[in-house]
Order: sequence, then structure tokens, then C-alpha cells
Amino acid sequence: MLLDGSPAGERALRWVRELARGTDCVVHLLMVTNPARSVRDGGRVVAFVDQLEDAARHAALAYLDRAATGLREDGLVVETHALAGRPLEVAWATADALAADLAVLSVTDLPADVARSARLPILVTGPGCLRSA
Amino acid sequence: MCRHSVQCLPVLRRTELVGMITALDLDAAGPSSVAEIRRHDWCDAMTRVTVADVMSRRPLVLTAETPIADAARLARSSGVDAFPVLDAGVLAGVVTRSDLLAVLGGLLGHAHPAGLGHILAATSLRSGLGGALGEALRLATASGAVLTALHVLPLDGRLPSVEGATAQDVGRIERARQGIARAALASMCDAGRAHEVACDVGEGAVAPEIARRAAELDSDLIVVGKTTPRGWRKLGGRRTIADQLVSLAPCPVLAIPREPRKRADHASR
Repeated sequence: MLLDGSPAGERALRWVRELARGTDCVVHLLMVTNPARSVRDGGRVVAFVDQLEDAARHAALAYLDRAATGLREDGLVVETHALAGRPLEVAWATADALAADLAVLSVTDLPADVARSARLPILVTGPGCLRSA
Repeated sequence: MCRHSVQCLPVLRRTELVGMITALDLDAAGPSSVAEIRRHDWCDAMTRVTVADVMSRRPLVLTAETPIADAARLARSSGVDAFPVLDAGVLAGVVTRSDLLAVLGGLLGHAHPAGLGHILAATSLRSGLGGALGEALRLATASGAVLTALHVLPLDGRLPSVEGATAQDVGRIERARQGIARAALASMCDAGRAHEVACDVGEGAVAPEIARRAAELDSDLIVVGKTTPRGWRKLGGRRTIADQLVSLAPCPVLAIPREPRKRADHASR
């Protein structure tokens, strides 16, 4: 499940819980952060890429752990992943690597051809989705 | 009370319960309804007024064995927000109206789960049970949701006007077209007898019609087959029905590829 940290993005958590209930599947929560750039001040590097990416990764993992709490309380096995890159590309690559059976995309900024580009079943909560988690 | 964000406290003399004090008791004990004056007067009163002066004496109590339903009835009839709970005459805890609501809310949630109440499977007549309808059937069977199978006849599939044909003829042909679609959908649904399925055939622009039906049926989930546009539609960069639905649907959309990816594919990579 791809999350972007927005409350709107968390709407699909309810569906993940519903679809995973009673199965022995593992739920993977994924958050993709922007690739960092080093910060320079007068030609001197004040923050390196790895420092910035580390900070973003830790913040993302903390968020995902909070999101995972409710699912874990329901007895689901949840793993969290924070990666850097382009959200959808990373999501497809992760789904491939994990041999996922379903991708849940609950991000506010989705491309118009998201379903067309998917190679596996996807659950999407679009902008008109009024039902919240 | 402010520090611990509590609205009430039991008052004890040694281990004996002698009263309850609530935020409302403290508010009512204020010397003036004018905030500025009350603040000034409280400074003076703080040194003289005691808990015993403002607490409710002989509060309504519950025992640890009191059924929740009785506690809820007592809260409703008495208008009291918090009850001390006694166990063998000794204070064991406090139950508030919020605690009772939380328990009742949980019970209601169990009786009426907020899960999948209705699934709308938008299906083509070609895919059979291997596509969206099959997946929707599996979900509906697992969750106990009501399932409606919908096939939408696109407007661009209508017959072109035939020379000499009357409006009555065209109407007859269209009705026959709908009848065939309905029969085909019903036979597909019959194949998956594990769950009762309502069949429906619509006509119009496919994605808006599916979204409209989903809103009308108060669907919790739309399951749709994911087809790739072919021919001129592909050249024109036309969006798939699933992609159009994502932006129109009033509920989440589950898009199923026509040929689900095989796990063996991953194993061989």
C-alpha cells in the first residue's frame, strides 16, 4: 500500500483491513520520499544527501509505524518500507520485488493513467471517493 | 483536573467515598458569571473554599458487577456524567458517559461492521468469471457483501441509422440488444452460484454510468476489469474505463487486469 502521509491518503487503510481480514497475507506499507539534494551554503556543504535521506526515511518510517498500529491491532502482519524516488515507479518496483497480489494506491497526486500502467490488481481511492477509513 | 484532563474526581475520607467533584461543580461554585470578576474572586476564594464545599454528596454509585446496559440507563435517566464504581464498598474506579459510549459504540460496530456492504462489479460480457466479476464474487462471498453485476452498453456500440428503418424498428433492435446482454450477464452470474448476484444492464458513457450506478446503489467498492485501449482509442491516448472511474467514482475502485500476473513470473526473474 502506497501512502503519501496525507489524511486523504489514509482513507484506504480501512479497505486494506477489510480485504486482508481472515487471510494470512502480509501488508506492506510503503512511503516514497523525494530524492534529497545536498544543501550548500557559500560553496560549503552543510547537509549531505545521505543525512537528508536518512532524516526523511526515519520520519516516513515513524509515520508508517503509526499507520500500521491499527492494522496490527487487528492481527495483521504489517511491514513498513520508506524509499526514495518517484512514488509510482518505486511502488511498481516494490510490488514486483515482493510479488504482491494487490497494490493499494492511496495518494492524493496520482497520474491519470494509473490503472493503465499497473501490471497487477490495484485498489485506488480517487478524489471523488467520499467513504473514509 | 486540568493537568490530567479529567472532568471529575471522587472525594474520599480515608477509603470511604464521600462525594464527587466535577468541572461543572467547580464552574457553578464560581462567584460571578463575568469572567474577569470571577477570575479576581477565585484568587480570593481559592484560599477559603474547599472541595467539601462544592462536591456532590451522596453520588450515584455503580458496583463492579453492574451490567453496562443498567449503567447506560442510569446515565440517561439521571443526567449524571460520571459514576464512582465500588467493589466491596471500596472505590474501584470511575465510569464516565464517554466510557459507556465507547463500549456501546464497539458493540454497534460489531453488530453493523463498517465493512463492505455493497460491491458493484462492472464487467464486460467477454471476461466471464475470470475478470472483475470473479474477483467481486470472491470478495462478496468472503465479506458477506451484497453484489450487483453491471454491464454498460456503450452508446458508440449502437447501430448506425439504417435507411428505411423506423424509430420503432431501432427501438426494437436496441431492446433486443439489451435483452441479449442481460441474458449473457445472468448466465455469467449463474456460473458463480456461491453468492447471489443482482444483474443489471445500463446504457450510456461507460465510466460515468458505472459511477452513477455506484452512487445510486450506495456501493462501498467498484470492481472493474482493466482493459488496455486498442486501435484508434490507443492512438488517441484514450484513458481506460478503470482510469476514468478512478476520477469519477464515489467509492474506491479495484481494477483487475485481464490476465492476472502469475507468481511463477516472479520466481523466474
